[in-house]
Amino acid sequence: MVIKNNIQFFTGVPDSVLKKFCTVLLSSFPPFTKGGYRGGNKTVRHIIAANEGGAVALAAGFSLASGKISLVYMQNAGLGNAINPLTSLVNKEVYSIPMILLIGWRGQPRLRQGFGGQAGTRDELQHIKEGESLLPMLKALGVTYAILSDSLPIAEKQITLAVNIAKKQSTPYALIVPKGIFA
Amino acid sequence: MKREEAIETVLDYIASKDIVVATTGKTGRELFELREKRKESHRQDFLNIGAMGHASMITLGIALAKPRRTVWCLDGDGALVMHMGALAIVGATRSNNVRHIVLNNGCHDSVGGQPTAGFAIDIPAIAYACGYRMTARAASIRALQRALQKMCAHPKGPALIEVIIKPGSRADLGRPALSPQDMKKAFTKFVQ
Repeated sequence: MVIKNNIQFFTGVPDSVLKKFCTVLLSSFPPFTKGGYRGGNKTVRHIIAANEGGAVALAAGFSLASGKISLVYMQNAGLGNAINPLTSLVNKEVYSIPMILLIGWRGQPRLRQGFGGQAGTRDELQHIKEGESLLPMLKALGVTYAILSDSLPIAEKQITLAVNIAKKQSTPYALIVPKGIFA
Repeated sequence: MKREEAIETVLDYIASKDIVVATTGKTGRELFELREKRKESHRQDFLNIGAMGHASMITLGIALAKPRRTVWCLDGDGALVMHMGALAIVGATRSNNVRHIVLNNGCHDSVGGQPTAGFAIDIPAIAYACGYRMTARAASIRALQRALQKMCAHPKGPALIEVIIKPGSRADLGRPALSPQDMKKAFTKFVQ
């Protein structure tokens, strides 16, 4: 689905909510190839970063040099690590660099208002505050987002729309992945 | 050696088709002014004006997208220590086209000169242990020139030179006269 949208650069920090996505990425573009930690092939590249901020900077560098859109994956707990490059490097007012942020959502609040009111899932204590903070944080950062649907045709449309908006506005666009979507 | 002298010495070894990424703070501002002084274009420089510690990741992203171009990273000791994990990622990719220059004055010079861990650690040894395939340290202009010659002749990368410099800069150091959007436009046209 992401390849169809012409994304050729993947980087990020793995997450259990995104495990399936990471597994597909790793098997398609293994990062350990001859002599070093360099994933992918001539057209698609994949690097597992040291932290989420480094991943945003890596994706920004790739996009600047290639003109192509990149995807950065992370758990919502890692958004804090990415705030500085999101505000001071890729932000519209600075260098305005498009990318897709794929964020696994731990600690999603039990009642998600504005999202059909379905019950969310219980999660461990360390995820509760960050789970509640995710959407307000993205709003404060000026990052547009969508919560990925568990219906494949809808999710595919959301991804295509995300790529188009990110490219058109030349800004990051976040796709939030609730627990269980990629299972 | 002052930082500006170190940057000017490095500029003599940067080819006109090479790409440069400069760290946050006075390094980028001095690079900008040196290009003006040398009557050179700003189009080959990317000034990482706000994301301290991430210049080497921007460099690696560019180097992966453009494997036939040499990409230089002008980094600082405070920035390097801030995101040292980046050294492991750059080193592990064994990117032949990355040349990393660390300007070490042992302090956060751009915000008042407060000390960093820069003089308490062995930066070339850390880089070597992370997979960099050529490392050196230089504390004089002549030693820097010798290290740069060695770096440019070395077939394998990434390569790193730690340059020991004095704190401080010119009192009349300006700020880039171009907007980030204008710099980005010229830079992407040059790189792509």
